[in-house]
Amino acid sequence: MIGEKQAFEILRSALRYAESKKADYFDFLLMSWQNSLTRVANSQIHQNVSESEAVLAVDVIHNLRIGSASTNLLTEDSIRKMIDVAFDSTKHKAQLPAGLRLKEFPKGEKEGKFFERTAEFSPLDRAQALKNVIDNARTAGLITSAKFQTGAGEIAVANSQGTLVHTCFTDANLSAILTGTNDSVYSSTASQDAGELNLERFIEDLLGKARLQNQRPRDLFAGKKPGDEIFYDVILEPAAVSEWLDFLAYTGFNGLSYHEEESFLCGKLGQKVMGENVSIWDDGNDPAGYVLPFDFEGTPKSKTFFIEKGMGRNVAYDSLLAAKENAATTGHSLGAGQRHLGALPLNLFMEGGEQSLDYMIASSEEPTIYVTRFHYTNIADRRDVVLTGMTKDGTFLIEKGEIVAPVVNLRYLQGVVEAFNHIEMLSDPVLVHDPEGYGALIPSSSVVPALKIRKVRFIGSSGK
Amino acid sequence: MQDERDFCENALQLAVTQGADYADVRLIPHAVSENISVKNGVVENLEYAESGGFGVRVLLNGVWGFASSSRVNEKEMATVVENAIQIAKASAITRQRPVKLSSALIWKKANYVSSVQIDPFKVSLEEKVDLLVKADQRMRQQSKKVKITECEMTFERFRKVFVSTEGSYITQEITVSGGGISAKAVEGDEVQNRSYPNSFRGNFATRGYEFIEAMDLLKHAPRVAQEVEELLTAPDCPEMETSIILMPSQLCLQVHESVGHAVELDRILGTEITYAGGSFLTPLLDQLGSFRYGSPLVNITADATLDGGLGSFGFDDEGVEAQKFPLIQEGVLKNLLTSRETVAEVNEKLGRDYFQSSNGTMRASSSNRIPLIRMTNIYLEPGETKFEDLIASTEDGILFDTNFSWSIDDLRKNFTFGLEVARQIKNGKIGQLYKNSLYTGITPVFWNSCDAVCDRTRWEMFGTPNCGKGQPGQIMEVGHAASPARFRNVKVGTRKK
Repeated sequence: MIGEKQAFEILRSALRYAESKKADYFDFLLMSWQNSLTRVANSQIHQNVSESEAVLAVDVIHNLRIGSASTNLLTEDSIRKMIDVAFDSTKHKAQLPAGLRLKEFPKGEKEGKFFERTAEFSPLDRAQALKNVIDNARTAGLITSAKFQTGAGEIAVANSQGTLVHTCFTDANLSAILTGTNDSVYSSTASQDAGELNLERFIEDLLGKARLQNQRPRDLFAGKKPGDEIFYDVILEPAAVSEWLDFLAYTGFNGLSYHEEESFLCGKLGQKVMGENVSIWDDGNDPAGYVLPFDFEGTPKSKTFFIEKGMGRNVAYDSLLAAKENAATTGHSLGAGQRHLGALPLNLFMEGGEQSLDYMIASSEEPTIYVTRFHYTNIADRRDVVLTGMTKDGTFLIEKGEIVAPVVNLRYLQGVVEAFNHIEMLSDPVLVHDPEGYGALIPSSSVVPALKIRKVRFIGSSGK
Repeated sequence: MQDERDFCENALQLAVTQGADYADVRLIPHAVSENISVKNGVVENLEYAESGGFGVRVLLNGVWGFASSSRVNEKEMATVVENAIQIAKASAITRQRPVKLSSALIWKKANYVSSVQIDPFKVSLEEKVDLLVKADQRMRQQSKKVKITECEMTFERFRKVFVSTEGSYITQEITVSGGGISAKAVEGDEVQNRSYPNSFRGNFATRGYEFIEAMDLLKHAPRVAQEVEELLTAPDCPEMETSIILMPSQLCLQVHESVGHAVELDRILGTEITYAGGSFLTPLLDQLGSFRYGSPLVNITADATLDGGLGSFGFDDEGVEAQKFPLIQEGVLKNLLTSRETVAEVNEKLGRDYFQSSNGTMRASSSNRIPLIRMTNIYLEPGETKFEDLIASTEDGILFDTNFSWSIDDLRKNFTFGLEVARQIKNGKIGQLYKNSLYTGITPVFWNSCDAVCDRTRWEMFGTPNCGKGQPGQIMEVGHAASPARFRNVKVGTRKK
């Protein structure tokens, strides 16, 4: 971690050098993080890592042309070289719209959520928590695979219009898969405050699900002919809902997808696109999710509806896309070096309902599939957000209001927009945060309910 | 450079002083990358990135610890080493089976530099931009239906130093070049894509700018635009069970997903369960050497020495030399992708020394990540069938080309691939174009249905620059190659529902 004082020193020094270039506009994004992750396989810690990173990126806009560069070698020489390269890149044909005007963004009132006890969580703290999971699972005759990540990060943005903002945050997330004779079960928990993680409840949840795996899974495709499809009502746990929501955001809410005519919202803003019980929005300030007070170009976050009571309401913009499309930024910039990817909501919420998961199960008279989460979801068709993937770590058959058997993992092929027109029940929303951690540590999460959806299409199983 | 080596040696010394039984340091003094993308005729992204850092891996009382930093200086090094030691000590509280490293040849001073004819970082930005702009223009001139055109080039170069307490001192410099073009046509609710030489950013290799020149993007640009326009009015791929022919780029991805990942020994031993998943081979380990993975025509090789392959290198990140070995011979599973740790573990499980030593597949995506078992260049060996004969001998079937999307289960068994292009084959002739196609299957059933593999004249290499694995996530560059091949009784259909 660099800290606000040093972060501002680096940014001010970079700003001074960049000003000497007389560019029309430039902005810097500085991200640093200290991230640690402990991983368990076969009921022992097998990978245990820590990283300390800092990356500075710049976008220079000059004569309506844009150039980007980044460095993690934060020496004065490397920063100057980075600015030189970005400025030189603007000499090439990179035409931007004439109306482009980026502005100063004031520092928002909200701060990021930073907890010392998360930042100071030690390798031993993580190992002891995981040992607790392992020991409980072993007592139940189960093998543990798990991941426990804790870290602290900071984001600082400066631009040539006067913006200079900084926020810091923490992250603690724990997930585990318990494997028995028949199949596996999964659960996860997360908080920006590691002290808020409820390990006992987490273990209880895992062991409770594991008890449902007490018989050989049924293969619902056994006896089916090649090419056969089956349709079931499904109950999706929040982890599964969150995955579908991420794809909706990536393909549908990204303003770039919209203006490139690939979004399901094309021509449908202001129209009904989903069931009336569906409202989806982004809010970086809501403490029910991870808090991100401004986007990666410094715009303060606010609540932005994408779907409101089933109506298409908005798509996400950053300043660049907004200038190109004569719109206003919604505060979803990915920042210097990433603007070509469009604008993405990273703190999604989906309105819930009043039905609990238990009620959803108990009220399912018809055969229904219970899905804990998905594996390797990918896009089959972007425009209709048709996704395919497998169910994983706890797929169960419900009959007459009871879970009657685990099920061999199923492959689905389903349009999500269509599915969100057939939501029968919604639970209270809960926080979902189990990041893959490919790049920088960022405070992104979703807060979503469990759903019961009518007639989802399955096209195969791991057995077939 | 001596000071690089001294830096690493000092870190090792510190680690040993603090109790490490084994330690290695990977230092990346300097890495650069350049990405240029042109979209709809204008340069959309010109990005240059510079990075560096180091990572220290320690083995202490049979457990691992790893720490890293992007700040390369002596003070930070001391912090990182101490952190790695503390992490290893914490790991020990759950230890059941101590890590053992199988023996490996020690390279006291070795250097590897990937082959480059034209240094991509010395080719002017003007020349690169000009080529992309022209390719883009040719696509848009060809078809009014084309709404989005994208042309891209990426170049990378990194220098890596590996030093271990066993005495290894290895330096490597690897250069990667890649690029491609794509066109998107839109009409009403219909969106179609076509790419060359491959989807998802094109093709990549450990070569210089000569690799870009050889692609001849300008020649292919009009064809790409014409084909994407044709797709708009093509019918959806029919739902049926039929023979399929996979063209090389798609077959490479098929190899990647349903063979390459499945034979990673770390997955087989369960160490990737929390993210990438396991392998259907786990319960079949004792059939290693006899398990029929595919038909006798299926020969699959792992080859980290393949000239220009995206998965080529001199030494892996445990200091083991790059190797070439058969994974599947005449359809029978013979070998797996291994590491020093997994070799010792699997031999113990098998109760025999099936593996003598690591076959050198441990790589980390950067200095802040630990090495994992990764594919090198995994390829389907060419067969003997002429492509013309393959088509002529297919009465009914579908030819698939260029991936649109992919998905496979956590055991690498049930897969579904969406394609950019499908063409009907009827009575030995290529006919009707289909859009929105997919095929789906089960790994061993699929590979056992292979009844023809084309000869070397149609054998093509493709680099996969986006292979994800590990926690925290790592993106790795791996390579593949294949010639067209035919598979019987495969379920095909439409991905647009």
